Amino acid sequence: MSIATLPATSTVPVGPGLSIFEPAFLGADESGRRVDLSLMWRNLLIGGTPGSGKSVALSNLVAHAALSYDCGLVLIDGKQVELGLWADCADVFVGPDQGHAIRTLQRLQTLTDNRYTYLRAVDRRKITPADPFDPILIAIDEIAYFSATVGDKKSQDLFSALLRDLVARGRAIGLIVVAATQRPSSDIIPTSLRDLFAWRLAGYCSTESSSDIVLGRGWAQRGFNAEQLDPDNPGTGYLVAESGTARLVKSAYLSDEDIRHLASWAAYTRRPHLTLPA
Amino acid sequence: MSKFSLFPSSNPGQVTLVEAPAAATYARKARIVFWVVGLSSAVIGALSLAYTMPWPIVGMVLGTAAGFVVGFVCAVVVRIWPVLRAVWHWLAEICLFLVVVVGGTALVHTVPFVVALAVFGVPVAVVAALPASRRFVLTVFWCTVDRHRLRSFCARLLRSSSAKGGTLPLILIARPTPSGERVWMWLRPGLTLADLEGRTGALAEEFGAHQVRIGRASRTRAAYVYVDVVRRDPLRATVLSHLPDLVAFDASIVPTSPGMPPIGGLSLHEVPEPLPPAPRRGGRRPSDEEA
Repeated sequence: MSIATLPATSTVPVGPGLSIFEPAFLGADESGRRVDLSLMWRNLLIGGTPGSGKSVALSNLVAHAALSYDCGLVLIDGKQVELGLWADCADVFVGPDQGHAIRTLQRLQTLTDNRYTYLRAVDRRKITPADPFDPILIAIDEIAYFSATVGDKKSQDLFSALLRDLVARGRAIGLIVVAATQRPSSDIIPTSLRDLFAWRLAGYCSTESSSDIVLGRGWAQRGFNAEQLDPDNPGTGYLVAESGTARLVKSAYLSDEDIRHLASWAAYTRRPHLTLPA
Repeated sequence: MSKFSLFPSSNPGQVTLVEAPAAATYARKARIVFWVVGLSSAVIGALSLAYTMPWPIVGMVLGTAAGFVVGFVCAVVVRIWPVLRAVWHWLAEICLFLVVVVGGTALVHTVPFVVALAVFGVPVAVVAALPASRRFVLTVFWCTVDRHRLRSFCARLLRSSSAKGGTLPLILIARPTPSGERVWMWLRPGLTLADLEGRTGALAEEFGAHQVRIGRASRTRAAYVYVDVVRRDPLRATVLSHLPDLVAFDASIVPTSPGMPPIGGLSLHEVPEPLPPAPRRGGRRPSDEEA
């Protein structure tokens, strides 16, 4: 059922000209410098307690991907509302439906095989901006909902296995996984999946061990302990990314109105004659 | 164990900069350095000048002399290294002392006392009155204090650790950061980054700071590390994204709903309780007639 239709217009919507091959704006660091994350050929794991700012960080990266002219979007959100605002500009939006999530990951697995076949045919090891297909950002909010909460053990294991395959093999072919969860311990997602994420972002954690689970062992001993972050300052977290060092960052704030505006614009530029679903 | 004495037996005008055992060690090192560096430099210098100068004998003598001069300079540096290190650690205080005491004394002897007082008092009053300059002076003060505290912490750590023969790290510069201060240091044999890891809590107490973070300052040099002293949180303010500014706002493209979406079960009383699972039937299966 359609409840809203975009107006017919004679003008051609022009995007802001961003590219997923360029670094995405995340926020600012302690020195006041802007923090940009190069998402291409990377995977990012975001952890932290509820309200620590995981979804804010996720929204910034999804916003960059949505406004990029060369990036597809697959959004998987057990809560619906965090990524749901971007649903209209996404290629696939998965709500609290584990079966749909598994089927989507299976589609992406097939896509992975096809793209590797293509790369082998053109004698290359990873994609470039000149290739005839676009990278895809796969944003997952609350992995635990699909891997440890709903469904039976078999389907949870299947979801984790498909996601692990995607993280392990998708990097070179432009399938970027950005996943958020509250505590990525082994009872929530398999250790073999967690350790595949090269880049980490830890918001406030309730214990030192939780901080180390997100960032990796040993960071808390060096003083990068997300337990010591201020829980009343959401969006702040330790980022382990370029150069392998950790730094304190704060994600930029996007209000609901900002997101609706950006998401509508992104949907408009991607599909000017889109009829929005209910 | 030495006892404190109000009237020490040594010369009262004598100040111990370097303990006697350490001085003996450095003297031995200096002798070794003199002979090793001096002899090798003398041989190299003699051979080089003998072949390059028009008079080989003169060149050989000059090269030998130059080599031993180099060895002597190196030996002197090694001999006074503990003093040089102390001067480096107390450089800020020494400079301050020279400016305030020596400069002040010279000024008092040059101009009237009131003028000298104004020369020193007015800048101090201005710095104290302006918040920005006051903050700057405080950050410089904390940078100086941090270097001393880090050195004393490392010294205690070396004394308490099994590697008692370890050498104190070279505390490099400290500079203010928005969250506090950052101190760089060069680790030397006996103390590693792993020794400092896990002691960030104790370090924070040593610095009187909220938190201390340490890490490698260089990817290629393991000995080059930094210590971040966190005294305040500079990330309290909201960080705004520039992305909304990249697109021209057009309210007409933002879809609006004509009314409440037709979704039920939004209140708990509208959501029925799930039926309990049917009890498993045990015993014999009912016969066809009973069924």
